[in-house]
Amino acid sequence: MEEQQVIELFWQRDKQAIRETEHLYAPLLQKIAKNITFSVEDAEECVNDTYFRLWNSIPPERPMSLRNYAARITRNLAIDMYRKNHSKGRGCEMAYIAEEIDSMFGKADSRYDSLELKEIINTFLGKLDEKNRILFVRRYWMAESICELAGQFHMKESAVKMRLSRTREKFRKYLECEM
Amino acid sequence: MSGFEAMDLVEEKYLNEALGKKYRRKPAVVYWGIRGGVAAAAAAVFVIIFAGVVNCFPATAYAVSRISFLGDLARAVTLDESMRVCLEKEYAQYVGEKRRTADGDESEVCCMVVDASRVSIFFRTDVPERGKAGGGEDGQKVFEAGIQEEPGSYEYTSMVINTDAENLYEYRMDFMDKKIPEMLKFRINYYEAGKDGGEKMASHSDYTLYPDMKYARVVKTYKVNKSFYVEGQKIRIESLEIYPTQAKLLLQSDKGNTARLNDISVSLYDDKGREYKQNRNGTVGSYGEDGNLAAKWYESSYFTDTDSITAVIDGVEMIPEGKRYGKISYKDKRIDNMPDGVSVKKMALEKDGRLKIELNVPAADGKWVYIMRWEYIGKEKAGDPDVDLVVSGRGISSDGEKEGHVLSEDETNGVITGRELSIGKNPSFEETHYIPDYTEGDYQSEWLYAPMKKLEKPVTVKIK
Repeated sequence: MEEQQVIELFWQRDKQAIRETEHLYAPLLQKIAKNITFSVEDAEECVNDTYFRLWNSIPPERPMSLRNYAARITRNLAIDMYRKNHSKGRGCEMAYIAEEIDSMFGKADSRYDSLELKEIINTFLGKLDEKNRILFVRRYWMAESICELAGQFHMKESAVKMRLSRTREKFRKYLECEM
Repeated sequence: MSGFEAMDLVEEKYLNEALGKKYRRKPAVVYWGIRGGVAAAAAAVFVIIFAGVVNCFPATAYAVSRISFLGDLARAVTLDESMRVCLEKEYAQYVGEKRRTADGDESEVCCMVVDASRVSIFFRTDVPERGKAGGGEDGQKVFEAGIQEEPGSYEYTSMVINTDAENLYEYRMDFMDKKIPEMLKFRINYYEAGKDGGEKMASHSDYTLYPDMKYARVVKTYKVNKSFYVEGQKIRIESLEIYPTQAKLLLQSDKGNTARLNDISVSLYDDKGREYKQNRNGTVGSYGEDGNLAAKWYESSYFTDTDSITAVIDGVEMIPEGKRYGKISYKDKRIDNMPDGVSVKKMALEKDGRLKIELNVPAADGKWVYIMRWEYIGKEKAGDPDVDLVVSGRGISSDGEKEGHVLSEDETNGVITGRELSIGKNPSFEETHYIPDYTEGDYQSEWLYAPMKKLEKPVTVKIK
C-alpha cells in the first residue's frame, strides 16, 4: 500500500492504518529507536508509542511523508528514553554522539530561536556534498554508530570519523560566521 | 533546545536523502564460468584430518508432502552440488507463503536454506526476471527480487540464481562474518514494459522471513595454523570452516610480506579422491582489510563420508607492493605499473568533467574480478583526502560471440561507474571507470589483478 493511502486510512479512523504503517516502517523505526536507546525493549516501547502518537495526531495532521513523520516521532521518544536512562550509564554510543553534537553547537542553541537554527542547519547541509551530508544526518539524526556507517559506505571506521570530524568543524565555523 | 533537538530541524528533503539511500554491497571475488583443472603433479600441501563426519543439524519434521517438495527442489538445483545435497538431506526451513498482487502477479516463497554463511530463499513467480527477458513487449511484466530494507550491519553479497525448474529461483545472500539476520524483508518487484522501451514499477509482493537461528549456528571449524612460503612471501592457512552449503578456507598473509596476495590456486580433495570445487555461482573469496586474500570458498563436504581433506596449492597471484599503485595521468594517457597484458584503450575527458578510462584486459580463466580501482590522493577538493572507492568489473566472452553486450554495471552515487563488455571471438575483456570532476595528478589506481603464476616446486606441510 502506498503512503498516501495509509494516511487516508488514518483520516478514515481505520485501524488498518497502524498495521500498514508497521508493515512499511517497523524496521526503520526500530533501528532509529535502538540506535538511540541501545535497548531492544526500550526501542520496542518507543515504536509502539509512535503508532499511538500517529493515531492521535493524524488527523488533524496530514504529513507530506508518513515515513519521515513517524521517524521524527520515534526519534524524539527515543531521545527522551535515552535521557531517562542516561544517568544509569546505558548507551555509550549515544554519549559519544551527544558529545559530538554538543561540541558542534556550543552555546548556539541558546542564542537562536528554532526558525533561525533551522535556516542555519539546512543551509549548511545544502553546501555539503551528498556523501558527507548523508553521513552527517545518519550520525546525528539517526544516531548510527561509526561501525554501521563504515559498513554501509564501504569505508574504514577511521575514514568515517575523519569525515564527521571535519564536517563538525565546518559547521562550527559556519555557525560562528552566522553569529 | 539541545543540540539533539536542534538536529530535528533537518528538512524533509535531507531526511529523504539519508533515510532512502541504499548503497549496494561490493561483491567480493565472483566467478562465472568454470575454472581450469588442477595440475596432476601437484603435491599435497595441507592435510586436514577430522574424526568422522559431523552430521548434526537441527532435526526438522516434515510432512510427507513437504518431503516430496524438497526432493523436487533438489532435482531442480543442479548448478550447486552442495545446495542440492542440503535439499536432499532435508536441510531446509519450510516457508510455504504465497502472495498475489492487485494486478494478479503471483509468487510463493517455498523454503529457505540457512547456515552461518548463507541464506538462500527459494521462490517462484510466473514472470521472467528483469534484465533477462530480452526486450519486453508493451505491457510485459518482469520481476526483480531483493531485500526491502538493509538488515543492519551485515556484510554480504546477493544474487538471483535460476534453477532448472521453470519460474523457480534462488535468492542467495552470502555473509562474510558468520552472522546472519534474524529477520529479512524480502520483496519481489514487478515491472511493466512501456511503449518507449522503458520499464515502470507496477506492483510488489512482500515477505517477512525469519531464518531459524538454530541453522545459523551450524558450522564445523578445523584449525590448521600452518604456514608456507611462495615467492618469498609467507602465507598461513588458518582454518577450514565447513558449513552445510559451502566451505571456507581462511588465509592470513604475513605482515612482513612485500607483495599483496591477490589470489591462490587451491583445490580441496578428500580421502576418497573427491574434489570439492570452488563456488561457481556466487562469492568465491573475500579480502581482508589489508587488501590480501583472506578466504576462498568451496563446495561443502558437510554431508559426505569424509575422514580427511587435502589442500593442494599450485599457483598464486601476487602483486608486489611497489607495483600495487599507479599514478593516473590523462595528460600522458597512461597509468603507471600496469599489470602484464593490461593496456589503456582510451582515456577521454567528458563535458561534465569526468574522466572515462577504458582498459583492455587479457583473457583469464573464467574469473570475473575487478582489476582496478581508483582513489583520490590530492590535497584540495573539499579539504578531504579521504578515499572514495569506485567499483568496476569485467566480463567474459565466449567463442563465436561477435557483438558486445553489457554483462553488468555498478552504480555509486547515481553515476554508472563500471560497465563490462564482451567483445569478439577471442576471449577479451574491457573495464571502464569514470572519475567525476577529474583533476590531473590527484588520482591513482590500485591494481587488483596479476597473472596467475604456477608453482614450480610444490610446498609440503602436513597437518595431523
